[in-house]
Amino acid sequence: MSEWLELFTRILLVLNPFAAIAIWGSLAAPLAAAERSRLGLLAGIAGLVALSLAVLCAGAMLDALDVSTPTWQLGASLLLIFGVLPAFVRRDPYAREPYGSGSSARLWSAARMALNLATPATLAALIFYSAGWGKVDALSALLVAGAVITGGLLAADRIERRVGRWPAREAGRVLSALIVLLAVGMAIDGINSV
Amino acid sequence: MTVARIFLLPILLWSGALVVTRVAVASPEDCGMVTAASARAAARAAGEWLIRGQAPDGRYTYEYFPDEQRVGSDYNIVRHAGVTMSLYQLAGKLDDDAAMQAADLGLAWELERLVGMDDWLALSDDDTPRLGATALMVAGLAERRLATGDEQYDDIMLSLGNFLVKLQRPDGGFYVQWYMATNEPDRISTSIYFPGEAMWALALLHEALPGHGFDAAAYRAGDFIALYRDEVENIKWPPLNDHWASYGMAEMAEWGLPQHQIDYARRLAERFGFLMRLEAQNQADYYFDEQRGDPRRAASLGTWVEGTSALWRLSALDPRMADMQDDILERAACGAGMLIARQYPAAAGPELAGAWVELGVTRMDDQQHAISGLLYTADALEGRTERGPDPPEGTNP
Repeated sequence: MSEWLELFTRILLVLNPFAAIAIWGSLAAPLAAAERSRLGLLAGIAGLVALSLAVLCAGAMLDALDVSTPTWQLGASLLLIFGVLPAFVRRDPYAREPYGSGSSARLWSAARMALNLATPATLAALIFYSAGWGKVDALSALLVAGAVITGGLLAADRIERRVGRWPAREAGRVLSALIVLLAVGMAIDGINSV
Repeated sequence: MTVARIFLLPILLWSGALVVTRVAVASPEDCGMVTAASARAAARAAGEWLIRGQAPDGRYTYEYFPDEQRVGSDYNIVRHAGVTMSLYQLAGKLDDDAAMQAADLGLAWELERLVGMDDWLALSDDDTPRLGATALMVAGLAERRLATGDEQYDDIMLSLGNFLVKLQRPDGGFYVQWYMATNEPDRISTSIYFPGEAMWALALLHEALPGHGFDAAAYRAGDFIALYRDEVENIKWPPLNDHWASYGMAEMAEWGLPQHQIDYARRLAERFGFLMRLEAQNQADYYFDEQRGDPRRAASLGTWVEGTSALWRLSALDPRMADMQDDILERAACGAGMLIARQYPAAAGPELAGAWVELGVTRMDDQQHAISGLLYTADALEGRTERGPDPPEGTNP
């Protein structure tokens, strides 16, 4: 159980729920509350499906790429660091220009949110977690973390209205710093693995 | 246009990051193919190269430069002892009579070069007998004893063991040579690998001839290696990839190793694993493979395979290493696969068949380390933890 909790914490951290809330808050700003919730749910599920596929196909991916798990771990750690770099160089790293409220714009917003969850970095990290911890643990931890994130997307509107945008943004930055630490640890582990 | 801008920029940035990661960090690893049978066949072929090049006086062909079709004139007594030891391993593991005869001839050459005082003997071709050559001679004699059950060299083994103990320092490390003229050790020189060789030899001595205190000396050597050696030797990136220490700890596994030696063994397995993964990337034909440098010679890669396969044995015997067992096996198999892929085939002719050539030369320890690594990886692939020869056919291993 403690190993599962550690894995869950890692996955939740990598997915950065506060960054997701801040991004969805700006992307969905022009939308009505009901539409925000519906699309937030859609984006959360779509991102989760992509991440779940990474978990399920991890072994096949590593075989296809001819890469051992520790080497992949090293690569994934670099991608994680690359992925959070904007948090430290941009004033509002999670601000996204809304597309508007037309039907295609709404779908684009959901798609973009999903892509912000399932980035190459998070996909690479999930592949590593699946290879290192096992598919069942990785998938179950991902599903719980995904539920937390999706809940955050559904509540993004209320959170922003109640406390403003900056708490999620700054918390996202803090988590980004923690992701860097996690990635450095991953890289060291990757080097120091059989 | 907006959509294109919003999506294209991240796609471009991520593509760049992925390409850099794939090329520079997570590039493909090529481990070749290995089975227990193919590993043993490769070891036998390497042994045949050594046997073909052996002189009537027991010396082996030290170096061969195939492009110039020239045999090198250098020789090294430590490597002679190492090659003899690996031939005994081959003879014992594969029941190979030719290897046994060649090893006995090599041993005869060593027996003519024993020097000694009081109760000790050492292998040397001058008046400063060194620790490493003597330790490897002990290992060879221990392998011979395992393979044949012949006890005729037990007294010599004891005397050689006394030399190892005589050179041991109070901290468990070793002086590396003895000045016969002044009857004292060289208190200045050090060697990074000799302590591991001596530790393994002392462990083998205790296994063969218990009751002489060689186990205590082996433990002290293990403590020195695990706790102090890397610092004493100023190893820039510890732990030193010491396959001899791996052999030693695997040999001592059944005695029970202290926790700090297990911790060291775990770090050692990780180091071998890292080196082997880098080499597997080097082996793969991929972008920038030239920038990764030349493939490591078999004398290096072979030692990594030796160390890894010895640590597999330790991981099979000590529960504190059990969680690493599968990964260690995978890495040993990877190294053995690379060795097999790089070995010259029978069609290469008698000068090269069974050998490994890198940078225009093959040296006898290329074959030595590859033989040992391949033999013990074959055992690991079959789950055999016995270091000694296989039991007679028809009996359970």
